[in-house]
Amino acid sequence: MNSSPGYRNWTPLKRYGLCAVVFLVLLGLSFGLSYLHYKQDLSIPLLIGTILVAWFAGRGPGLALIVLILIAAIMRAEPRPGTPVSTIVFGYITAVVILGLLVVLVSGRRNASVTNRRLRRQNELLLNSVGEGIIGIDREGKCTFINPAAAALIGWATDELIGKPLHPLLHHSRPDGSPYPPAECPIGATLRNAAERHVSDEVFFKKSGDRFFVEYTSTPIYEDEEVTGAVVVFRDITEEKNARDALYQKGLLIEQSHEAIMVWDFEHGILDWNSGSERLYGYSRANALGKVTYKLLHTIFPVPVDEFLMGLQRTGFWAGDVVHLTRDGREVYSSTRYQIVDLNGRRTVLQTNRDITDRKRAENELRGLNDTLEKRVAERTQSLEEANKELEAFSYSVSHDLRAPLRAVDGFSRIVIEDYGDKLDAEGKRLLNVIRDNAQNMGRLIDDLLQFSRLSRKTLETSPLDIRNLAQDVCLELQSAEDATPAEFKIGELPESYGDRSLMRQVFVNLFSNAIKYSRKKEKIEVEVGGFAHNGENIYFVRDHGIGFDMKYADKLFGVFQRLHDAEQFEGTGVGLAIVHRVVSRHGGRVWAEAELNKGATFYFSLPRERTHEERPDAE
Amino acid sequence: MPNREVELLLVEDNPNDAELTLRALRKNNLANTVVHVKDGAEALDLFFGDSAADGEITPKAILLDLKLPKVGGIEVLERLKSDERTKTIPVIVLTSSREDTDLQRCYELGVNSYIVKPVEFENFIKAVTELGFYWLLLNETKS
Repeated sequence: MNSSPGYRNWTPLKRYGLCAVVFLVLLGLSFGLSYLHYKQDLSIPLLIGTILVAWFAGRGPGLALIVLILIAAIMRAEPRPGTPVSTIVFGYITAVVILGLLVVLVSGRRNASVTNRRLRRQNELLLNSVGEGIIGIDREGKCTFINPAAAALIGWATDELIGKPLHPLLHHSRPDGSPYPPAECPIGATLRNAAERHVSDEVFFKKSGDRFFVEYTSTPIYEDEEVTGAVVVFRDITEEKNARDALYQKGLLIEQSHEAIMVWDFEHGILDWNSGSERLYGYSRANALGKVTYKLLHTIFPVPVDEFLMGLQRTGFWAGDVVHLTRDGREVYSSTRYQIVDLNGRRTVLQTNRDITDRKRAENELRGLNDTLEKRVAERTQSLEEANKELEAFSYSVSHDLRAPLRAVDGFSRIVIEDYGDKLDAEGKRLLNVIRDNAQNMGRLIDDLLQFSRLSRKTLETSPLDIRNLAQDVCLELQSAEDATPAEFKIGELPESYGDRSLMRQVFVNLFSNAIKYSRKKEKIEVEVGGFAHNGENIYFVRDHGIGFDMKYADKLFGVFQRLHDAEQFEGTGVGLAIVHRVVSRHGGRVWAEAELNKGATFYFSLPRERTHEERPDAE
Repeated sequence: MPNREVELLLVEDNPNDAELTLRALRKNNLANTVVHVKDGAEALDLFFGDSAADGEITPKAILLDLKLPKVGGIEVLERLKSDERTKTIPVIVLTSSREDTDLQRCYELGVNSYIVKPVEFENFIKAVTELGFYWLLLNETKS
């Protein structure tokens, strides 16, 4: 807009200065004209000058100019004879009045136009600077003005819209997509009924066809009590709406949540209480507001209440497992978190509680079960140990009780032979000896069985074993016995292994004894002992060159009481090899044998190399 | 009434074991007068009961089995060793039990010797013979 400076921008100095200048010019003119002997008719210059001053400098200087002119006129007036004073005075008064009126009119007009311009400029500035969109429409809904913000918001250029009906361009549909007839439009209502409207759930459409949510107020423009148009002030609330929707959604989520969520502060108590809280604790929202949470719920904290409060206030955070009491007196365990946030300048506590009663109960049960289990295991172990001991004692006493009559059988048979030997014939003596032999045999059976049972039950005490050394020891022991059958032992390289020394010793005792026993028929008894590593195991063998056995019956070798030779030729109970088998199996190894009748037999057994072996419970 | 001179008291309920024991002793001339009772009550009775009134018996040694009917061997031992009149008599337990508890208790009570009956006949005879030699011939008792 044009900005010719109004007199308001001039300082009084400037304004009165102009007045003075004009006056001086007029004076100069007057003197000049009189000097040049022209007729002094200054009416037009006076008028011009006055108008000038009144327009540019305002009423004050204008009136001042009139006064100056009057004074000058009076002083410079040449008395004209014949003119009555009243006429002159009247003339001056008329002149002053006319000039005065002129000044007032002109300066008034000037004021008005300047004010107008100023107002218009202000208007423009306002409209331009405002962030909201402002649109003016006339009674038919055509656009009369539109500020830059509005234009930007709706994607049109300002000059494109002036004079166009706006409803079909901007406001043709509702948010759900259905058409929006102008008759129902609130802005239309403003135009028709001069009603002010405020709407925040409608959409405007951009030039591009995109739409956005708006909040607008529509105000009527009056002229002489008649509505000549309306002003619509609007803003894009898409972001706000999204934020509001998101907030609403979050609010719903909180309401829906299983967790009990509450908000409180230290002054006013509970400010908010979600439906999860209502459900869990049984207090309605109305009942809970204003109360103190930990008093309402009789909260039991893992630490004293004061400590909790202090900690919470100090760090702004606290979390832990607590116990709450519901309205109907039930105890619930709750995993609770407190967080302090600054809301509206106030320290507000956000509290969420998760019902962990079930979990706690399960935990307690589990702990209880575990304890019971541990106790049961301990009891079981103890009873197993006791059972073992009992079995031991039982075996022992059984064997003793079984042997006592044997002692009698054997003994009394002997007595008969001793005391009545001379009265018995050879057959009689033989029969008695049969009785004795059987009694002794049974005694041996009992011993062997007892040993077998003991070896099966004994706990394995594994340690690194020098097998060669062990074999040599056993060999020495057997050979140095009083009634030892002389035999030659060839003990080769035997790899070291892991095992229970006393048990493995028994294995060698049995194998060596067997080797010797079944070689008795031969002239020279030779026993070879050797071993080698193979596939991660150590394999040992004891070879004899005695009577051997028929491979057909090889699988019977290791059964208890199984014998492949009759007792007449070779005594024995048939437990020896069963013991070997049981011991080696407990070590995680295997036994097997190869033989040829009358050539000899080789008994093999394997022991694991590493100590990784865990005892196999019922290896047969 | 003069004291009954008894060399050995045998407290044994098993008749076979008793017979073998007695035979072994006899064969070696180890004991001329042996009294044999079959249970603990009889044994106690001998020392503390009515029959004792007839005259004390002071054997040179007592062979005591532990597994006895009526009154067990341990109790007999206890009575014998706690009474002034009998506690100086040597008591040799001859039993089939090798239980630690029995051993412990017997020695606590002051048993003089504890022998486990050998299971084998020959060894049994040998043990009894040696017992006899030791306690009846070699060992000195107060008169």
